[in-house]
Amino acid sequence: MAIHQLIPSFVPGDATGQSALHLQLLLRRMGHAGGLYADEVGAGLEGLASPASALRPEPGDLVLYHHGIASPLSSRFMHLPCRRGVVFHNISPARFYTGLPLEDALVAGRAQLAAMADFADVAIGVSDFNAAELRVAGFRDVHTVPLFIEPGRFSRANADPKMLQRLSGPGPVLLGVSRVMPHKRFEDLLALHREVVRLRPQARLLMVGGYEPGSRYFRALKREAKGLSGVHFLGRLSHAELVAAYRSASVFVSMSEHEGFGVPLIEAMAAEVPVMAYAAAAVPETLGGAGVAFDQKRFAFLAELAVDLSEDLSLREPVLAGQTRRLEHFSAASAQVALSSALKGLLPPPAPRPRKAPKRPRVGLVVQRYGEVTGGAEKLAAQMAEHLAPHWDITVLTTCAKNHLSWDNTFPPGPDEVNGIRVLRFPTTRMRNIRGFNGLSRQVFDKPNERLREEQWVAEQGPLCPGLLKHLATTRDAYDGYLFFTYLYAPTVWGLPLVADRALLVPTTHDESPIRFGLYADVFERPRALLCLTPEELTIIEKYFPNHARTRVVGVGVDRPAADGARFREKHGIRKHYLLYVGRQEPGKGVGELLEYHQALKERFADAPDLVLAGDSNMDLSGEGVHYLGRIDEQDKHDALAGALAVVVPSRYESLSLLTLEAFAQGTPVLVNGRSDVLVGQVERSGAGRTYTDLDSFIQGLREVGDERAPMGKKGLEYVKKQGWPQVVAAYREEMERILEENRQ
Amino acid sequence: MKLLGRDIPARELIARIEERLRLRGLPTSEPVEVPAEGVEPRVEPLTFNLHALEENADATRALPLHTHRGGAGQLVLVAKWAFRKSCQVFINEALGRQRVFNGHVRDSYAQLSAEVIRLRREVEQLRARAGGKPVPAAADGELKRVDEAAARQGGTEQRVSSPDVPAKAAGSTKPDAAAEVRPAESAPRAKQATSRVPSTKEQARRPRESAPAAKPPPTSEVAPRTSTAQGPERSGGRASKKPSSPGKTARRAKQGAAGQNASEAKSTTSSEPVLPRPRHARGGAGEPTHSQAKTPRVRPETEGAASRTTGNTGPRSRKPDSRPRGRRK
Repeated sequence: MAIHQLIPSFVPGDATGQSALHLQLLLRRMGHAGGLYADEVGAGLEGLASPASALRPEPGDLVLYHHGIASPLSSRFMHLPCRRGVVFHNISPARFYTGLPLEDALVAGRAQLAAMADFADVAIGVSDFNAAELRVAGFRDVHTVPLFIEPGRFSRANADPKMLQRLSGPGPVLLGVSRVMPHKRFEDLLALHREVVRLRPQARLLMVGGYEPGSRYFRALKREAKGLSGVHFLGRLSHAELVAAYRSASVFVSMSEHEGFGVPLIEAMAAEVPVMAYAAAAVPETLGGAGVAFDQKRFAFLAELAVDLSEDLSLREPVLAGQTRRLEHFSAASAQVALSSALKGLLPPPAPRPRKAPKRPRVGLVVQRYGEVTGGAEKLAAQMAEHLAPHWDITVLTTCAKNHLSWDNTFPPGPDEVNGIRVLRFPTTRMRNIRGFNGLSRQVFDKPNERLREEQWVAEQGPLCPGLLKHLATTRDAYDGYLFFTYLYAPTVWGLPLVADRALLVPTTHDESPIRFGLYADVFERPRALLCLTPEELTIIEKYFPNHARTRVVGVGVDRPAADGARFREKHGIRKHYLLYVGRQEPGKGVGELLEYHQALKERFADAPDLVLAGDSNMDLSGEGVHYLGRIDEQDKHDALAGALAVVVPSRYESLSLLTLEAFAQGTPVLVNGRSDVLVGQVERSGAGRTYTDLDSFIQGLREVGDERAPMGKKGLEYVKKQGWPQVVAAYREEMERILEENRQ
Repeated sequence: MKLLGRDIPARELIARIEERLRLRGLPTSEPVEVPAEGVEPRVEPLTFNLHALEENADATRALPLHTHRGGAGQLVLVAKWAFRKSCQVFINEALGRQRVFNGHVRDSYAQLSAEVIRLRREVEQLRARAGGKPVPAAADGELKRVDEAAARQGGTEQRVSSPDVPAKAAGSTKPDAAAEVRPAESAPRAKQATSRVPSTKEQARRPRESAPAAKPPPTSEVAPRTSTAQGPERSGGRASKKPSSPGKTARRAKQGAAGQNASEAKSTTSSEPVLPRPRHARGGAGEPTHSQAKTPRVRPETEGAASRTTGNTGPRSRKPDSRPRGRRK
């Protein structure tokens, strides 16, 4: 059973879209897959939401339609051939817009709401106030599922420093956040500010929210604000700027005369700003006794109150403490409890727990690609599948993609078999636009983001494979446990929460920009255990996700096939000493820097070694003494490793580096990027290599490795002998047994 | 003035602030009538949609002049006004068929919504006759909703026929036809769920505002048509006896053929064909000609195959036995 959501508009800054995204998160945690479908999909969000016309639910599915102002989707909703639910976000009363074009759309929205009443199996209001309106409209099975926010995203660390600087100055600073619409009563904010200025001439008023610059209402506000000092219309802000506005304010004020919920109220609570709000509609319910609500707009009185709240700590601190308590009601966990209760009658009953331990646990191994692909994590997944196959009944669940840059479907969908391992492939639904993806990465990396932007990045990263997610959600009884590989990609981010109670994750964590996304918390906190490859990886996880799931360093086994360096030289016509790198040849792996250093080496030293590169390439690999061999087979690789002067690992983002261990296994030392903690750890523990961080250290390291190749190679061999497959396999089996045992209990 | 908050000493705070206001010579707290906030009323969809179709059926009628733009926006308004003034006759010509089409949509909807209301009533009666026997869930819910609507209407004729009420009681309280709940006929466009009385201050602040419930209900336009569309049994109802207003009659006359189609829908009974007669078969007694109706003349239908997309026939086909056309030598 899938639970899809139908939204009129899915664009940045839209509260309904954000609510749908949050519901999708909760639904995944409850084990339900499903897509977002919108009449209007914002530019760049096509990976997250599909057009409403593409919605094709099956009879057993549930579609939740988010209703607000009049939308043609309400007619579509009534004719959907599946179970249906309405999520009501309220509609501004038409009395505020008499004579304006908006009036009809508001009344029509209410008529549509009433018309849907008999066609909905469940109705959800985001507040009790909204739920009451649903009942009045004729809905029967009505529940309240409050909206939630992620308080961490409103911390001071998430505020835009430039905006903080711009807004710094004398106080008190009043803040209003909402769309600039007549019923939000921004004119009352101005009236209040006028009174506050009488008490504190340096006072400022920040008004945040989207507006139409030419609208009659906005022009009237501008005229009214002309004679007032300290009034700033900031317009619509990015998330980081919004946090900076909250964090710059002394008091948050809402003069709105109609709120179906009032998200800015709880955002202000999360940003530790005292809230003053006119007690209209759902506002008292949302405040729940926190903050200060008032029932009359006596501006002189309210100005005194605002000054007290911003300056009198004996008043301010208890209010802030109360708001922090209230915030717990708007957590994801609370909302999930409410949502579970609302959907109780519509969801299938949970399958009975198995009484006996299965002889061979049925395990689904989830990885983004499988088969003839280059990639450390993918190779590790294949090795683990083959070593665990005698003990587990393994099915690899993967995509049809071969190329990780485009994710285009190369392998046929459906059942397949690779080296005796059963594989089930699902097609990807979207090719990656790598240029657009890189542009988005530049926008979102290393800065605070809202969830929407992070989800957008994951969608653009891909691979988008709804079939795989649906399989995970609908065939839970077919598997006793799941083993996910790599934290980074969409199948793990969106698939793991579906089966988190039976999932192990091999995260292959890198200390890279995306790991700072709050969205990955589910990946690191929800599985039953994280199986790490090195102690350094554990350190990275602890740094970014202190509440992570149980961890265990399991390492990997290393094969040591017989190899002959001379055979490799003979085959490829390489006469001189050579440095070797085998892997994906792309800038992200540091290959550009390696080529640059190698060319400098060639210019300075006549006897400089050549550089041999092997693996799939996505960049230009030309240069003096550079040999690019393309993909090579396993035996060729081990021959190359055995014959190399040293193996270079140029990537700064490594969670293990199988190449390093394979080089050690052939008695060859390594020269690694010293900016990777994992690589530095491997070299320090083994004593079988050197690190570099710039050209000088690269040359120095190479000189030392060349001088001490034999003793270093010996140390490397001793290091890998300690890591064998039997120990690794035993660790995986032990963790899976633990899951099975806990599920039986 | 009330301050709500668990974490503030509300009384003490109010007293402190009032004292400061008094010292500043500002008026202190006075009892003020606070508007009672309630949930918004239900908008009856059948009635609303019919009203909206009525309102917007004439595609040649201009939308109110409105702009969000400042400065240049005023020029845009003038340009729009001038365009309307000078080109209305062409607009009428271009949108003539659209107006006819909209009239058909409106009339079809009126007929269907009337049917829905009639069927709801029949289900209700059947349920009353069934004596408390279980009815299908959807119908049961529908009835409950209709009953709730009746309860909201209040008055001495308020019906009590929820599923929990014994059949006898439900049967015994059956009201007359005029008192029954007929959302599309007598229900206002929106009914206030909780009474919201605006304060005098609020009224003064928003002199032109009026809640949807306060709007003149569209029933004066809707009731006669929908009531007669429900068949002869309703013909004696109060709504059907209500005469049309003069303005309304004039507009009907203007609407011409569209209005005529509406009257056809009105006269449809269960014994009459559901579909209207083909256009070319009209023109009988009492039906206006196209010139009278001021609607574009429709090209006569031919026997050629209708196109898949529009259902219209293609270019006029030649008669099979017609003589070759063109200049004779």
